[in-house]
Amino acid sequence: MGFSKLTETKVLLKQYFKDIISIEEGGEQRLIIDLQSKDITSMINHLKDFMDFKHLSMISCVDWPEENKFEIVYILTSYSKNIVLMLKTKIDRKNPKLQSIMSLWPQAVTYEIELNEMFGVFFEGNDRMGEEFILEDWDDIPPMRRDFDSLEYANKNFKFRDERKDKKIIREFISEHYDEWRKK
Amino acid sequence: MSTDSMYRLLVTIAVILGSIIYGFFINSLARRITARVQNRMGPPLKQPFIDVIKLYSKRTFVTHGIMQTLGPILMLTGIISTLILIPYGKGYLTLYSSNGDLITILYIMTFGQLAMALAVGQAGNPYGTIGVARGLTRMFGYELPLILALISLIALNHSADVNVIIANQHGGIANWNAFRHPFVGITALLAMLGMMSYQPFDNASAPAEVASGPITEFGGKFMAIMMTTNAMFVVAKLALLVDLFFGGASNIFILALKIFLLYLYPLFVGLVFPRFAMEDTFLFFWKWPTLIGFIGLAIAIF
Amino acid sequence: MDDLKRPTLDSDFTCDMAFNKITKWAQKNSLWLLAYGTGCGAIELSPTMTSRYDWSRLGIRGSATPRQADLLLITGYLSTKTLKRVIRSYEQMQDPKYVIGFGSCTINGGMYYDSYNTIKQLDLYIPVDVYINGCMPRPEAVLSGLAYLKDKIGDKKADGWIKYKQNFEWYRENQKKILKSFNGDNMPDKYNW
Ligand code: SF4
Repeated sequence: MGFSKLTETKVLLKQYFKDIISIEEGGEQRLIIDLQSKDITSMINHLKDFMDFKHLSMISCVDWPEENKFEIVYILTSYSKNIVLMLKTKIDRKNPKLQSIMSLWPQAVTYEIELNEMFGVFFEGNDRMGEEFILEDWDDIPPMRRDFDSLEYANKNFKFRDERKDKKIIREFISEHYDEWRKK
Repeated sequence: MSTDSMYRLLVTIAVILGSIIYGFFINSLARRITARVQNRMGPPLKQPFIDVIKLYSKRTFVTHGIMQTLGPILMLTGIISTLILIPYGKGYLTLYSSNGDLITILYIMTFGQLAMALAVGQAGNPYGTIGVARGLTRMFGYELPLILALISLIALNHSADVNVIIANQHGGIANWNAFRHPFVGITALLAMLGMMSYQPFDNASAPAEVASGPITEFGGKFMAIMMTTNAMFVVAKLALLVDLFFGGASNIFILALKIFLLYLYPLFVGLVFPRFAMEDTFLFFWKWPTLIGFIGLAIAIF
Repeated sequence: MDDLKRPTLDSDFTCDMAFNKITKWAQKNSLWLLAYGTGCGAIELSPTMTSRYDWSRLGIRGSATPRQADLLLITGYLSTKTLKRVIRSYEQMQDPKYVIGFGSCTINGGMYYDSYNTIKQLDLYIPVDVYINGCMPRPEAVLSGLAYLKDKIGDKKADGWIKYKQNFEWYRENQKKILKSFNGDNMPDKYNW
């Protein structure tokens, strides 16, 4: 036995991409790679074409308002190596822009328009960018950003039912009478 | 109007009303049987009647144009014309069957479905259009074996008159066309599966696949007319098959019994087989039933 | 809610006095519901319709299109996007029609009380005849709710559709508050697609 596939991948990646910020093992058969945002497309391209990471599991986003950054996360899988890769990159929160990877995986379009809607990240080269996906007629800031207050928005836009006129707390009422009713 | 034609008219009206009631009745029995097979209770026997009354009592009347309104009514007309050209027994119960022969019946039978196709076209629902396309394709499929079987019958009896065909089957089960000419009988029975639009071949209405097919855009009173029409149509089709292949009937009760027994056959086939895809349906009908039909025709002619 | 006009029942019900009893009986015993599951509650409908509970005993049946349906079951939370479709389906259904709100989400937001995207009170947007409480209601509760609706229809109290017609402006205002695109000019005048 030489190196395991995991270590091998790690070493190879380090060789190819000199300016990887960090690369570490995140558990069994799992690699977490931190990248600069300019490298992300070439990295994914390389991974797909030469290292057999053929499956795009998902694209996701984390909001870091403290650092004023969005962190975009790509998860790729390779079936032959049995490795799950997590590529992370941070982009500016004021002007979040990234290259689209829809030419590699057509299904990435859906993830990208969703991120655009929920976080306001703009993916260049995606021709369906800006399309309405889940939120129709939305006119506030993108709702998954952490500075969006969901409860406040709900209170402002939706009407809650008034409380009961007799001020009875129904849960207690039921638990008091539960045994009685059961016997019936 | 002579008393004779008067009586005939009264009997005809009675048969039309009776066929509605009987059609609903066997429909609800079928629903019961399906439910028992699936280990359920099933709806009560009066359920189709309740459904129809409810549909007639709907208040809104949405229509997209004159043809959609006319379609169901033309369909009803077509079915009633079919109904009165089929004999249901002896004497007055032959209704007006001497006025038309097998070819007329076949021709008129499709009239209702074509009217329906026009109505759906105007309703403009895409699911409806898909349903109609499928329905007509299936019709195209099963009509070939059906017509082969009927041509064989006509050749064997040297007549296209249904009454003559019934008279020729006189005298015992062995004389029934289905048993005396087994190839013809099998062809007709296989074609009948398509005719009844039950499960393996219910791809026209295909519940949950294309909404509910042709009837997607028809609610309320239209739907009520269609349910009535369907009930009559089932009885008409089955009565015709009983007349042609199972020796007709001397009185109305035996006919009812034979119709019910014959109805069980597509029902049980449908409970066992899931829905066919459209191209499989077509292939099915143009393969074995057609082949058997040609053999039957060859035997009949030579 | 309280400022809504109560429907004046008799004017709308008595025009067919003679058939009144029969039609009421038929409407009560034959409910076709629109198979349209909106939230998690729809999962409880499968046991309710299959062999264990079997709602076809009660004359209930699914129908695939709103044109043929009498009963709209809102099975749980409604996002604003779904609400648009629900209103449209409701408008397409033919009178008399009934709505059942299913689960706590339709009553007061339920566990999605702080969600930016689900409505909190269903009866602001479409009239609800019966609410079934629970998160999620078990098939027994569903059946009892349906039985209650049947009684209500029999007593001529299931008048949501008349209420909707008579208070159309009020409902429409509420709908427009949430669904901004309903304010556009391309909407049909009285809806009714
Ligand atoms: S009430 Fe509960 S079960 Fe029903 S939709 Fe809401 S969260 Fe889901």
